[in-house]
Amino acid sequence: MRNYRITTNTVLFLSVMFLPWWVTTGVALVALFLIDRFYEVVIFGVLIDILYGAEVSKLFDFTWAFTAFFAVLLIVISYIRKRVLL
Amino acid sequence: MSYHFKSSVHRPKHRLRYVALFLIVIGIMFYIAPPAFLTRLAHSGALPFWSAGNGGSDIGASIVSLSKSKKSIIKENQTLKEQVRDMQLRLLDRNLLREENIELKEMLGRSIDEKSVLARVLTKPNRSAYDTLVIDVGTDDHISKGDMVLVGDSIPIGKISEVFGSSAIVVLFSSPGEKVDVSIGTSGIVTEATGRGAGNFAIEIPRDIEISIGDIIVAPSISEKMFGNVEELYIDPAHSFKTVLFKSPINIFQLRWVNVLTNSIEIIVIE
Repeated sequence: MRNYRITTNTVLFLSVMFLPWWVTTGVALVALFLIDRFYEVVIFGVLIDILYGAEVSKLFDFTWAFTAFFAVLLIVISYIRKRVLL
Repeated sequence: MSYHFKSSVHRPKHRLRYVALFLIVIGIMFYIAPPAFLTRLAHSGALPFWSAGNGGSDIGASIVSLSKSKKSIIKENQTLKEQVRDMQLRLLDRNLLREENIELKEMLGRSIDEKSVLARVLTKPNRSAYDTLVIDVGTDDHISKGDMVLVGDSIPIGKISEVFGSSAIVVLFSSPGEKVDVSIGTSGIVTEATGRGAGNFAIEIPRDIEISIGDIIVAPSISEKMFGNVEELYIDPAHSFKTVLFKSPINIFQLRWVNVLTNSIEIIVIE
């Protein structure tokens, strides 16, 4: 399980560095459903915001969009996992 | 005598609440005061990865070109040579006109003193939903926030939004919702263009203003900065305005090098 977690984190890191954002979001979604308490996802959100974030009209000048998005995903999917899947 | 043991059954529930609370607090902290040291640290850490990634893609492109057949390479080479010859002739004409333009402006007491820094594009806009580029120049190269980013000498594509030691984030003028002042065609009408993503722009202007497809869109400044050409016009008889669509002549997804004007104050970006 630990190896599985490390591999997922590595894949997510490489995805943030080299792949389009929607691939990263997809990997994060799958990881959140498969791995219990995958809190690291928020750190990847922070990383995306730090590396690429800027005040753009498209995201209402909010520079922490991915952090907020991944935090919400973590809370929602953790709830779904607990109530529905398990 | 009875003892009350704390039940461990409810712990995960409480833990989730604490995590949620922690995330909200961190989020508010970051929103109020973005940690500059963290951003600089992340960027300096990511630079080797991005450089390696760009190197890898260059090698990949070389391998792909090696796999092409000799016949197709010769054919492509001939076509490219013809195109280069044609471009050189056009460039000669263009350079003469440009020099003449600068000389005339100088005679009239307006000199154009632009200093630019060449930068390598490290990440393309599709890397995040922010639609930004990351380039490999920063404060070490005298780049500052608000500097204009060009392709070549005359095609503006964005402005510096965040700057670090040896990297910077560029917000594209064509990013959805971004607004920039432009001047249309020979009429010289100055208006506001709105970004629509992927190098596309839209302008809303009164229907009575004469504009035709192919008209040039430039920056309203003393130096020549071209945004693109009018590609489409939408006129709705029910409205008093028409929509002008134009596109940057550059494919932003294929960008490898850009120029950063270190003293750019000419283009007015509407916040």
